[in-house]
Amino acid sequence: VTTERKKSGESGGAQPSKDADMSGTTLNDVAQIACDDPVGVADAVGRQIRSSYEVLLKAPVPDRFAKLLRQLEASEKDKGGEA
Amino acid sequence: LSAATSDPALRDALVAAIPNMRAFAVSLTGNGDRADDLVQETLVKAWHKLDTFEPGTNLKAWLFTILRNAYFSEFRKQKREVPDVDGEHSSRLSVRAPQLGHLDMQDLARALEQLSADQREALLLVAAEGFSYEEAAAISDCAVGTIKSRVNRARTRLAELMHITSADDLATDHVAGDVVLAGASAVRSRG
Repeated sequence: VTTERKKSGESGGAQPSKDADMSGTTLNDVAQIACDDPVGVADAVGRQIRSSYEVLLKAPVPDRFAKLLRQLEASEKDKGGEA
Repeated sequence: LSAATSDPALRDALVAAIPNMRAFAVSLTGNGDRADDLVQETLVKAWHKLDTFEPGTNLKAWLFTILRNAYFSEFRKQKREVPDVDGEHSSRLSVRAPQLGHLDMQDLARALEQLSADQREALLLVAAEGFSYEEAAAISDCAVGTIKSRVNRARTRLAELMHITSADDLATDHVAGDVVLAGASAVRSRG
């Protein structure tokens, strides 16, 4: 598979209207997006991101957070429940 | 009584969201200590206004909104002297090429560092956390189209950095070594 529309590199972030509000997405926009990603690059990047993120999600949570919640609960009881 | 103390399920849901908040925060900041401070700040803020959370709506999205607001208000304070125009940030940063097909945590952080904060946030919310564009837009308080274009640009940039020019490059998971951050050669190292 050759990527004739290789759009990496030169274009950088300079494409006009890329960051514009596209909430009124038209068929032309959809076609443009499809052309922008003819070979599933977005999927490939997405998989990389997710697999790396999975590792982060599995990291053990430090005790400081359990301690923090206990403190928050305790301080609330001290106040007699009035926030 | 606050919602959390009167509703143990809500407290449990809060606890259950901590790993996601930490993963999001460390990916956003690129710094584990700052990330945990950010999560702590988020938990305290969330705790004190839990009664404003609407039961039945997405608690994780609510927490992420608090977290990203805390991050961006701090971020903007720090960046005042160094404006971070989309993409401009990247040219000043160096990146080391990872040797593995899968980016590890540090490699991901390094690659994400190449993006503007707005693009990084959008990509993390949608591609990593799996929020819909609509949810991500609500969290970031911007238009759905803005989120879509940020995610699109972030993916394109990362694909460049990872030398992904066709899906074939990553058709299988064992293409170790083929995925190299182009930034290493394209960007001069700091100092």
